[in-house]
Amino acid sequence: MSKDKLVENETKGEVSRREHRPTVVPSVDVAESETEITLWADMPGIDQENVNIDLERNRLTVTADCPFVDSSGHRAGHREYRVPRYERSFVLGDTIDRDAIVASVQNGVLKLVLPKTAAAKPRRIEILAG
Amino acid sequence: MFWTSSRRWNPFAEFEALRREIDRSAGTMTEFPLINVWTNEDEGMLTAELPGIDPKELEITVKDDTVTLKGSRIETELGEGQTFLKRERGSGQFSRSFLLPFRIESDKVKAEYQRGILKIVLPRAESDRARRVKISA
Repeated sequence: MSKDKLVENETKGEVSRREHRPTVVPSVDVAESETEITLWADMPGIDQENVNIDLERNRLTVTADCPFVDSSGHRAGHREYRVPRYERSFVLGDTIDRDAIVASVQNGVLKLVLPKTAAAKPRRIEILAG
Repeated sequence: MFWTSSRRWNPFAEFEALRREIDRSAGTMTEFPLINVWTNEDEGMLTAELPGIDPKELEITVKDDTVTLKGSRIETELGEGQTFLKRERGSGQFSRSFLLPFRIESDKVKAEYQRGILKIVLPRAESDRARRVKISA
């Protein structure tokens, strides 16, 4: 991460605190197959454009600032949750093909598909008859 | 869940809010979905955090001053050759009711589901609205 980026993130942190956005660690399901690792994260309130995915060395960090709900003209009556900032990091093994990671969001669930590198995929060795 | 007037100080509400915040960050949520409610003279507005739901599986019922949400969340379906490394996302049936401080015009209730958030607008029943009473001389 460059220095500029770090400063930018710190500024974002300031804004978050002012808006009282709590940081929430999203619940995830992770599945593995021979060819890829798939991750689903519950992040209600977010859409594709709110999600940031940063890859630094082998640390994958997902962050998303949830947009606020328009409640103008209403009084808050009962509150069980605050509009959050989601944040969670994962450590990737060397087997992931970093350039081929695909992210999508549907109904507030982030799905990440992390394909394994060709070298990590199991290979069937043909035995030559001789 | 009972309505507590925002004008009255409820010392337990602060503890409840803190407990939820801790549960949420620790992933040990006991209530699902979490609900926020706003009101004004004309209507109530309820939002609920419901990620990854099929809106067809959601049932919203309104009676008098109570709104009830019922539904289920299916577990992540694995493809062929996939096995779970981590399973934190909850699944199963849920049901929550909420009492508003007024009766609801059930015919005019509107609900939308976007970005994993359910939003329900609950108009106040006409019969429940404040009316000026004329004093006969």
